[in-house]
Amino acid sequence: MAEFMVVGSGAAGVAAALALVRRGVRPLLLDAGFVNEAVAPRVYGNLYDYRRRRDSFDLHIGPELSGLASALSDEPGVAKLNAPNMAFVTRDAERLAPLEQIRFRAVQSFAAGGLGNAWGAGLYRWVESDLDDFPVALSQLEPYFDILTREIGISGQDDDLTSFFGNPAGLLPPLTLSHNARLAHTAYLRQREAWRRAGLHLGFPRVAALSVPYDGRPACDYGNLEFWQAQPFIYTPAVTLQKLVRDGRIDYRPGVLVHSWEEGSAGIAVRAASIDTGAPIQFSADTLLLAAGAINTARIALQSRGDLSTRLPLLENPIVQIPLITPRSVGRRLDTDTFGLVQLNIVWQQAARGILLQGSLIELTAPMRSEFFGRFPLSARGNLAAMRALLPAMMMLQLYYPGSAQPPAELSLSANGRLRIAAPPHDLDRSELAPLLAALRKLGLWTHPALIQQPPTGHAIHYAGTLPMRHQPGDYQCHPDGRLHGAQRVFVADSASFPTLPAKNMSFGMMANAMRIATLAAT
Amino acid sequence: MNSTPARESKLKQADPDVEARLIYRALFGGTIPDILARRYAQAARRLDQDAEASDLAAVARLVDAGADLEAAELAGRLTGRLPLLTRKFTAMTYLAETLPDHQRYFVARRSSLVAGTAVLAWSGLLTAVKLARGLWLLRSVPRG
Repeated sequence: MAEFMVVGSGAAGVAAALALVRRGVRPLLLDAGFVNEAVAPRVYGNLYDYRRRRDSFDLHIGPELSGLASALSDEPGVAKLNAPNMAFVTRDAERLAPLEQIRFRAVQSFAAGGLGNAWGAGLYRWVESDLDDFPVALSQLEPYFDILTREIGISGQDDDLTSFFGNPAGLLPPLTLSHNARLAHTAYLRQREAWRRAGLHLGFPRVAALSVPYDGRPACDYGNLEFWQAQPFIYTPAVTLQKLVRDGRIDYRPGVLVHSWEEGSAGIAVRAASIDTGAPIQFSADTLLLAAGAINTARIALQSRGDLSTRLPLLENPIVQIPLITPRSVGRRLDTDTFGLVQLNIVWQQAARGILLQGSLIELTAPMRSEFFGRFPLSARGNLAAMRALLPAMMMLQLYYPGSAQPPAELSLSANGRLRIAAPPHDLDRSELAPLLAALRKLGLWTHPALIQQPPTGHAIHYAGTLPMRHQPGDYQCHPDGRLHGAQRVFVADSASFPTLPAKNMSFGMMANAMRIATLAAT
Repeated sequence: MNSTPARESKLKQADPDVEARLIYRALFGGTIPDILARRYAQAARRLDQDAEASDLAAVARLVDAGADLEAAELAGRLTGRLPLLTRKFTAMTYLAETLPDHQRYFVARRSSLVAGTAVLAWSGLLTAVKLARGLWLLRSVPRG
């Protein structure tokens, strides 16, 4: 019997395991644990240099044509997850955790390190306002933000976003901006007061990508390969997982799919199955920490009771994608020495609705150029020409709304074993974006409202709130220490326990909260 | 619109080699490299398998007639018709982008605001011409 058992090796599971290890515990970590077994090449240097020298079919598309997924279907996919070297992140998810989805597009992972293998690497401390409806004080999370900042290595800067992104102590210098981002940032510094009056703020992101060598890992080489393979300068939960396994600090059991648990006087029995053979396996522990992700942690909770009637809430960040053009960069050569993810962040205090939105200004150098074919209303050759002439002048603003901006989806277990997720119909009011678009124009970033897209609910891959923490929890809710109501030693360590979902990327808050809950469980 | 999946249909499909040649020529001009033709055939099989029979037949008619596929694709894309043809163009673009000698079609290596603006102006004119021709070509294709 294990003293502590953690289910899942994503950001929350790894953070929980790390907290337990720091308290001298050697937890058992159960995981499906898929790793990258693709034969796709490992590229060193710059993506565009490589493509000029070598056939990049195996890197971009692969023999199974996974890189063509968005070209072959109507579904708007997540380009990064289509790459042959990233296919393991979502491998077998539909088989292992089948879903029936209505107006929702969930992405699930059973990889070692979870969805973090393909994350955007934005890690933002939470501040008091992010915790408005949490039964948790910021002071309870701060020590864990500090520990994680040291563990991970986060680049960023003390700037106009510090009041939203929290204490800048321990940050590495910011990453070098791309040409277009530098133009926008310079313009912002001149327009700062006007922006502030509109409730808008711009600054450097906090990213788990190294601007300088750190903890034995190299600095960013600005090679645009972020979409195509794991990069040693980008931290993912798999980094800590590998370290804990290598040092023998955790008992790691991959190849296991957890189904349910039963708590008795002798401890907790966890029913699982071998992923390879389907054979049932049973584990037992004194304390169970669930960190399988908000959707699968809820699935395990419902399966544990054989409950086919309860409908649980599921929160997600609605997003809109706003393509932006810098007219003075039209016809410019492509900036191929670039960090291919977020360049700058925007925070918008939208007074009309009393909510706070967060945007990521993203460079478009990492995806294939063909990803944008058909996005311009031109003929095929016209689109090719536009890709050459316009894409070097373009960035994408991905704007995140808080989970409260739309009614929650409902999640329930069906008799056929599928998890049913139903989201209500909901369209964001794009006319409310007018002040933001006007402010962006002042920075030289132009768009047209017709180009703005709202991807389907679920696209942000920020899922939360299925088993929310409350001061006075009820059924399928957690106590403030993460303990599931009605259980003695079962804790929810992932975002399932969030009562609300701020617009800010939840990953860092989730990791700090997982450490807090694991520490409390071990105390 | 007939929504019978292609795999259940007896409708004639486009000759894959001819289709690949025409789409390549519409995009890049010249002769399609062998390796690209092979890869495209694999992608096209996947697309045809999931396509609706009516869509498949419409594409086959255009290919058999040696029609201006660039014009038909544009008109189809802008009017919500022929999604299969747009996917085939997109697939060809992705596959071509992986070839070293095709990088010049995708990545600008020199900066010129004048050249960039001129290219966009040319693209606008080309689009207007192709749209007119494409709408004429699609007279018989139902709206999606």
